[in-house]
Amino acid sequence: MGSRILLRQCVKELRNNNKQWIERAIATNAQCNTNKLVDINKALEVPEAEQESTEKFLNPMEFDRQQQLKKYIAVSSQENIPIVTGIPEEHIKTRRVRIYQPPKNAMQSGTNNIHNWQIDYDTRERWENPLMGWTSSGDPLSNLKVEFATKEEAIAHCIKMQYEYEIQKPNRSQPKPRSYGENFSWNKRTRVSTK
Amino acid sequence: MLATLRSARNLLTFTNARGVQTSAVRASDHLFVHRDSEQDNPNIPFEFDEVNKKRIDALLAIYPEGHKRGAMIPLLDLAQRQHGWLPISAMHKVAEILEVPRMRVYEVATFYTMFNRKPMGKYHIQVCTCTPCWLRDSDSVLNAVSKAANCEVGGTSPDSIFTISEVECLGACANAPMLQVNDDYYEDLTAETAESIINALKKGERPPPGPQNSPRFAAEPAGGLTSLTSPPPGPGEGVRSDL
Amino acid sequence: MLRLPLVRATGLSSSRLGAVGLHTTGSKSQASQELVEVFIDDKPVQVPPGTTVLQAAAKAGVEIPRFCYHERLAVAGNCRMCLVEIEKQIKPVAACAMPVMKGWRVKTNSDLTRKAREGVMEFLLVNHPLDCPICDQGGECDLQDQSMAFGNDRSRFTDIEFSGKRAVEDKDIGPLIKTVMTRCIHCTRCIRFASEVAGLDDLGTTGRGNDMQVGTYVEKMFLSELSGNVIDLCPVGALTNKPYAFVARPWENRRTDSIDVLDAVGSNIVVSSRTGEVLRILPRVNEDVNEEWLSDKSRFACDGLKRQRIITPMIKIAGKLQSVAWEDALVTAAKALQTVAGNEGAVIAGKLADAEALIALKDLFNKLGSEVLATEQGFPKDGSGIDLRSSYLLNNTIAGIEEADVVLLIGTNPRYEAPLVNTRLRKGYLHGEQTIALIGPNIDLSYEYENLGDSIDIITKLKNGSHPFSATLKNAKKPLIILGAEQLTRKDGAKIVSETQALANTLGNNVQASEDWKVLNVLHTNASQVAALDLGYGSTIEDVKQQQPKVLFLLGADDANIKKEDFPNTFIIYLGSHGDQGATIADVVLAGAAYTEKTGSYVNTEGRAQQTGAALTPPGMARPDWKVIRALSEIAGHRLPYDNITEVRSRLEEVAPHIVRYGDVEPANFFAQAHELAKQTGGSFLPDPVDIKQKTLDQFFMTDVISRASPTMAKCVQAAIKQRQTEL
Repeated sequence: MGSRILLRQCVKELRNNNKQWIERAIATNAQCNTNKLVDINKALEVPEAEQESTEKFLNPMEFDRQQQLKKYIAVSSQENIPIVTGIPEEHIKTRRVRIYQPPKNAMQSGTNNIHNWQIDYDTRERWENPLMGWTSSGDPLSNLKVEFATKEEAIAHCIKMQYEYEIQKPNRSQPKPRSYGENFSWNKRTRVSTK
Repeated sequence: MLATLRSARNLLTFTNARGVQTSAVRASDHLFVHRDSEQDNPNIPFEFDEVNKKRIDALLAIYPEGHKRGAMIPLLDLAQRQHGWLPISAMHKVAEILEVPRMRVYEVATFYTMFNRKPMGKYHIQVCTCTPCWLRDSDSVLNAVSKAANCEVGGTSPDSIFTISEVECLGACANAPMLQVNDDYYEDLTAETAESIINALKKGERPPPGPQNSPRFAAEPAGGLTSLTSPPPGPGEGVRSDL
Repeated sequence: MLRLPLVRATGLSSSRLGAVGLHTTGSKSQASQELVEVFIDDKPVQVPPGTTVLQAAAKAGVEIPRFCYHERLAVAGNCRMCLVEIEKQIKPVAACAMPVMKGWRVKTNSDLTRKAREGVMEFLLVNHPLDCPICDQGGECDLQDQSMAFGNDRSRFTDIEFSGKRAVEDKDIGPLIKTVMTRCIHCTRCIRFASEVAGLDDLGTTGRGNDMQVGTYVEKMFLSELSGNVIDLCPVGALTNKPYAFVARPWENRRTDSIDVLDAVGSNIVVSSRTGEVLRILPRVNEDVNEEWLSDKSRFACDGLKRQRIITPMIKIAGKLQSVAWEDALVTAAKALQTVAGNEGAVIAGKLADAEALIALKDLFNKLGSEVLATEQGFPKDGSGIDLRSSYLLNNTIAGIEEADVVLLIGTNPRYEAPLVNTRLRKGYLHGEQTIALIGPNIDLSYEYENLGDSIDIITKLKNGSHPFSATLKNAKKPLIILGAEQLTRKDGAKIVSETQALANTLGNNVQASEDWKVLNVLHTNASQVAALDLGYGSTIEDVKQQQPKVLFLLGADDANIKKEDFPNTFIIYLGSHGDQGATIADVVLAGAAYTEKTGSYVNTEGRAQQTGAALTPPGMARPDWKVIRALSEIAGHRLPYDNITEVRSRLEEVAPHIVRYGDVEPANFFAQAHELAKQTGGSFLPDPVDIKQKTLDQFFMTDVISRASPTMAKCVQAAIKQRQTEL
């Protein structure tokens, strides 16, 4: 999702002949860049209708002001979200994020809650509180798990947040056809149980 | 507002009328786990006698290779007939012969009620108290048997000659009430005839099985045949004479 | 067993195939590609023929509730929870046992289906106690969840006579599994697991009707190396974890994905922890490694993580180990290290060492000039030694074992050395009609096998074709040799390797299987072994003993072979998590972390790199091992150039790139070259018979520091011995 927005922005910027911008954007997005250039080139060829901002008609004064401002505010090519979020630098730069698919709970047979991707953070020190014996932690992210629909979204999030991340391989499963008849097969060793 | 109130009231008055009819949970009087006892523990050796060994060979020959475990019930039955009841060491022996895990034998032996896993009297008297017999006063038969054998229902008499159990239908409803002594059916009973059977057994006799004190030979109508009275027609009956 | 040709079976299928116009000969692969289209809730899905309705629904993303069905066990079809409606069929069908037919329209959420489920649920609950508040399964109970989702919202159960519900007496089936048999819903998953996977036919149902109960009939413990899995399988609270009883609710626990290091399989686990202690360990599904199972040692030894721990560094002062501050311990150790020149320093890496610590220690000792880096379980140096990975890996991968048709085990008892490798063998035995033979003592492997004898020269005989079994091996399409790593520590280990390689090579030439099929496999028992060999820990304990080093660094090495008597003038530094054999002989003890407390890389016996996750922080002053070594290096004046785990791993990547490619197997190559090199190995076999350390169950439970410190494992050993004595 995030990458699509990025792509659209790229195209817009390209229209404004800002070649530098796109190069940098691709560089930051190096993880999944193979098809990007092709996509961008394709997107460039698609003619886009001129869009008139409704702001222009509704609030001409504000529109003018925005236009004026645009001359002075340069948007950095790299979205530097972490600065804006207020997350301490320590928790951006020193954290390792794991992107994974949650495992099935071995105790249960349900699997409806594991078809997503999650990220969690490395474990930081916890200690026993000397007063009460409770377990304390100085880590605000210790209980944080963020869910994503796809792996790509999770990766995009990590890139945006400038986390160092690793991807855990999802479990492959290929169910073999099972048959009730196997229990009674007269010439196979599968006939082991009476249940 | 009123309409919703009314519908709400309707909802309240409508109770789920059909409840589940549950009969009282009646557990079996048997125990489905093994407890070691003096008469029954794995350390008591069990061995089939020579006659039965031959029978086992014959039985195993019936079943194809790989299906030896099919002979489990006949073998358990043999063991029970030899020993009078089915001790755990006999089950182990059967498992050994059939080369199956012991648990698989336990499963079969506990499933079938005809395998007695407790010491039994010489005569196992099974009195049917299922509906047809009960309608024909099986209660008095049961009482008479219990009194004559000096043994309570479900137990074994002190001299361990009789074991009485109350059983469900034994399939002789036409001759109700009935009881079974080991393999013999005694049918068309009254309290008196039942008592006389027990007394005969006590003396070591084997009273003739079948309907007692009754003109019947088996399950035919007591008042004589009501149909098929004429002799069966021979061949050629109703066929043109020239054929 | 009667092995008549499969005329009947094939005849049936071929006639059916003939009807749809396929070739009748050799059409098995074609038939499997032929897909059947069915509709699950009007969603079309293509599945191979023979697929059950339940599996087809799973493919369509619809989950059908079930209790008795388990995808790794035989289909039982006795709980009836999976009843679904199929269009144009009058009665609901059990989805788990019914194979799909073309064009079926399955309705998994119709009125009939819902009513059927409600009915089944009602019957199950009539005989199920309402003791969820005191039940350990509460919160992760299939019955609870499914009664919420699929059951009726009100009860019609009235106990008018207050006669109580059906009750069943509890069983005592050992120190690991707690039973509350009244809760049992007779799904028979435990029975099927026991007889199919564990190969232990001790569980069954006795009685019938209302009196039916699951149990052992006679008083007997259910003791197997895999018994803990029935806890997971039990959909209700009938079988629960005994050491974990009444300890925690699942939602209180913090779950950390990790891997197990108590054997060389590298089973994937989830560590459940709360308030700084590991409460239990559950398996995590990984089709390539442990499927869904976990061995009892891996599962229950976690209470050993709380006992016998080294929580502070220690120095031996006047013959006694005394707790000191990190500075003192490190300075003492560093002083000793500074005296070392050349090969006067030596390292022995223990079973549980992670690759990060191994590389840090190797770098440190290499800087000191020492090359004597040994593993607890040595690997012979002759031939290709540790230079070619193919000679020390389980090359054909764990999952590949079940495809083999003839398996030759040499001096290994996979049942206790790697229980989850043994489940693969048993799976192959049951489902793939595998033939298995063993060179070694008579042991119970949970399946039938041919014992070829316990003389090691049988390998040569098999190679020459002078052994009766060699014909079977030669005719095998996919032969497999599994060599126990334990045998390599014998004096004639090099000869064993070279002869086995030669045998594998001759078989490999015969094999009609694909190029990827690898005949030679080595089964390790130590989790650290493959990573250590990959990183170049090529020496053995014997080498170290000969060397008589000035300073000996034990990285969690607690082997009984390492004795103080052998090193009279050696300064011994021990770094590890538990106070065991190694710490007692050490002059300086450095407190390290156990596998649940550090992020560490391990390579399992098939060469698959995996990493543990840190669930807790190390207790007391203990620190992750590589950090301790890093600190020591700085004080000793040989600063190692990495400060955080990422940097250590990039160093690992320089030395052995596959170790940081987590989840992947780096396949080994150069089999032929290894064989060529091995040809030069001289020597001859010793007359000693092949022996295996772990022969019976009681020898399985305590093999490393963690399981030796675990009271649960101690109880298991006792129980196993008691059981064996009563059976004799």
